[in-house]
Amino acid sequence: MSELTKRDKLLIYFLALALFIFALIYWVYLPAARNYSDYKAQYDSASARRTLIDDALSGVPSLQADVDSLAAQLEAAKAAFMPLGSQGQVDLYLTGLIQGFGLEPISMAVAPPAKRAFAPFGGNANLDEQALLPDVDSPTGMVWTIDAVFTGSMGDFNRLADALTQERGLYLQSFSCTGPQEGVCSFSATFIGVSDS
Amino acid sequence: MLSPNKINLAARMKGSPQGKPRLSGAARALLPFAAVAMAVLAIVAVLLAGADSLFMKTLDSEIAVLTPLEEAYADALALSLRRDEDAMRLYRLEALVASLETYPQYSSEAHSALYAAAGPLGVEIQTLAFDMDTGVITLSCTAAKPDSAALYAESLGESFALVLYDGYTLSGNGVFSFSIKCLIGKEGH
Repeated sequence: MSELTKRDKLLIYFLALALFIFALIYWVYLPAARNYSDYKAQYDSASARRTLIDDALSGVPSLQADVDSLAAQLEAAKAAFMPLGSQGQVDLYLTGLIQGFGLEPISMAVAPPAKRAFAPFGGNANLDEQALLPDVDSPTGMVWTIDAVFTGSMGDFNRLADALTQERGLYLQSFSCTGPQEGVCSFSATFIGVSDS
Repeated sequence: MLSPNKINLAARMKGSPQGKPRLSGAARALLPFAAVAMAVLAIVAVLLAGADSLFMKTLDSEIAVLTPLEEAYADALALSLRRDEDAMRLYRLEALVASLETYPQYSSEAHSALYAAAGPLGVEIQTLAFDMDTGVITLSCTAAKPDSAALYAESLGESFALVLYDGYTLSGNGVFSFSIKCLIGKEGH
């Protein structure tokens, strides 16, 4: 084999250099870059989540204060409603109330509680039906409906009606009475007990 | 002692005993380059492996910090959910209370207004009815004089938000019967 010329040697060096660079990129740089990219993505994700968690945790004291305050407000708001007991309890309570004002109960029917929407009262123009606002978003409550028949004086009934305006969650839904100017009237009334549930 | 069939690489590297090189010219020319290249490759590989290990360690430490925080975060999320639910519940309760407060209630005040006007006109209330949903008190009355009915309706107009009266009829017993509807206001009459 004859000696290599300078030109041949130069060519060989360039070829070897190219091969070396290819090897460096293909077997060393690219796998490392892939690894780095994976780590970077995982690290960024973990780091972003930590920031999110840190932010959320920094708000926990005020969140707890909000929850406590809301719980207290809820308890206070519940005071405006009738506690949801049994039909028997409602019967006993209302019978006691009627008797407490000197009225004589004749019959009482307590229907199981049912959900009912209460659109804000809008008054009406023809006195036949209430001009209710659309019922779609009206607040709802569980309602006991109690039909009662009793007798007594109009004065006693008025005292009962006045007491009911102060009663929590119990309303005189409707009534009719006959003989209101005589000593004893006959009343047919429907009461509703509104519960917060 | 090497067997004759074995290749003596060292001798080949150094050259033949006659001083003639055994390696080809190209191979000899590449030898220093190959050595440098291998060294560079090794150094780069070591550096990259070190960097790799460093990244891994950093990531592990981040994950190690994150793991216990996840539990606290789940609690915070539950607390946040509870706050939203309570706020919504309170909003609904307050809306319900506000809505119920708009409904008119029958009271002795309304009753007094009805009877205060009836007495002087000689009007007798035979039946009395009220409905919270409409806010209407419906009266069925009798009077000895025909003009008492209209006068009674007029006088009730001063006490109630709206009064509907549509005339009277002479009954068989010589009294005039009529009915009146009154819209009860929020304040009782």
